[in-house]
Amino acid sequence: MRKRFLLFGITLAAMVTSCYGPDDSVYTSDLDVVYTQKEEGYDFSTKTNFYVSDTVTYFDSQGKIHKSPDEDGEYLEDLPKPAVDALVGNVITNMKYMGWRYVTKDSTNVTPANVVLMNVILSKTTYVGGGYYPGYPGWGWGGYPGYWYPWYPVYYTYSTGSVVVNMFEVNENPLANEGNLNLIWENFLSGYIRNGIEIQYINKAITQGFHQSSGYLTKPEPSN
Amino acid sequence: MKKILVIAILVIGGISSANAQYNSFWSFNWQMSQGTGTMNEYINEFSPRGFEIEGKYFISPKIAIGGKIAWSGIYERKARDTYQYTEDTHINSMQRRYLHSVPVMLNASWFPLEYDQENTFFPYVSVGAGTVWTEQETDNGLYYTSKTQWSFALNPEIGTIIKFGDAFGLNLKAGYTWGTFDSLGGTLDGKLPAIENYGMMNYSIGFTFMY
Repeated sequence: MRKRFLLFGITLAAMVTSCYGPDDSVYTSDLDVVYTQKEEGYDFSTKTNFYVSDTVTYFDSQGKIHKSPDEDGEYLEDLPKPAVDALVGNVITNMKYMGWRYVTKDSTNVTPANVVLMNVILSKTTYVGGGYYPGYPGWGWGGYPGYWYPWYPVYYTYSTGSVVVNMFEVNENPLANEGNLNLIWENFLSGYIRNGIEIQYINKAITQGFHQSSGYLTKPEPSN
Repeated sequence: MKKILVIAILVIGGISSANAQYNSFWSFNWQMSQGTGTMNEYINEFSPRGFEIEGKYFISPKIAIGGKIAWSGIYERKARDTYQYTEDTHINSMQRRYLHSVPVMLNASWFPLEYDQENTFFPYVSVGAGTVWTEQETDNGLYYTSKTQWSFALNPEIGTIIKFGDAFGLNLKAGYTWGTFDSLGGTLDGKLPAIENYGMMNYSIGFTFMY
């Protein structure tokens, strides 16, 4: 009789134990996701030049929007100049690596229709509403004078602790109409910002985003 | 009440079965599972998480009809990788894949040896048909997709009861469950497959008592 109860007990214990969850303990870094998406069907072969804003847009933990550097050239404490330079520099390095030509505000003979505009956004909190492009670089379109257009709204949502690298195309004269920046590629890092901002960790993930999009972003080798 | 129940069982047993002593058994089993086919490509893990309760009623000394309900959970954690979901979308993340199943089956069993005091082994084969409820979930980091469904399923089994007392035994068996399945979508690169059919090998060990 004891043997039966012992066996029954063992079976019962096994059944109860089997109900416990698997060992799917998750580290916070396991939740980090690099998500890239291009506009459906977009053909990147028509663009060969890129510009990267030297201003990083930053949503603080209260969801307040900042720029580093701001209009006075002051850098945020969370995003000092070395951090901004490292983030922007990493985008430039990756784009050049894939065969794109880098242009600056001072570049001449720039055809806006042949340029993509890029920027980096960091968010420490959930922000629903406007994402922004910090400014059109100011190359003239047709007969319009070039000047620094301050603030372009592009609407979508950033989730908690995220980094975004955006790529826009310029549709028509951007100086005449705010809505003429069209988002064509997004490199979205979810979770890569926690308590502190670790630039090396973020840059590694940004590079991963470029790497996984290289199938359509890479320029063909020039044929001689 | 208990007496009436016992008498009723004895009467029914006496009418329908030549086995004078026992007409039915219940089994409480620990169940282990592993997917087959595309289900194994989706989760390639042997899972010890599962249990099963089954009952059989003898309509003749060698034939029993019955049913079972079971639960099993299989899980696999994939190392960080890049998945191409569409022509335009790539995701680099850790991936966790879950599949929970609850089959509910009616079955018929054939016992080549009659249950008596002489035999230690009481083997059987069964064929079951019914439904299986499943919950499939794929997590990419914080993001997940999941789907639940009821699908049609068939369930052949082979096993034996090892008696260690008059009315008690150890139940050992292996079964295969095949069913229809409407999967979550896979990725273009094939790293995340879509499941074409429900296919699961189940291995059970449990406690059986006859009455």
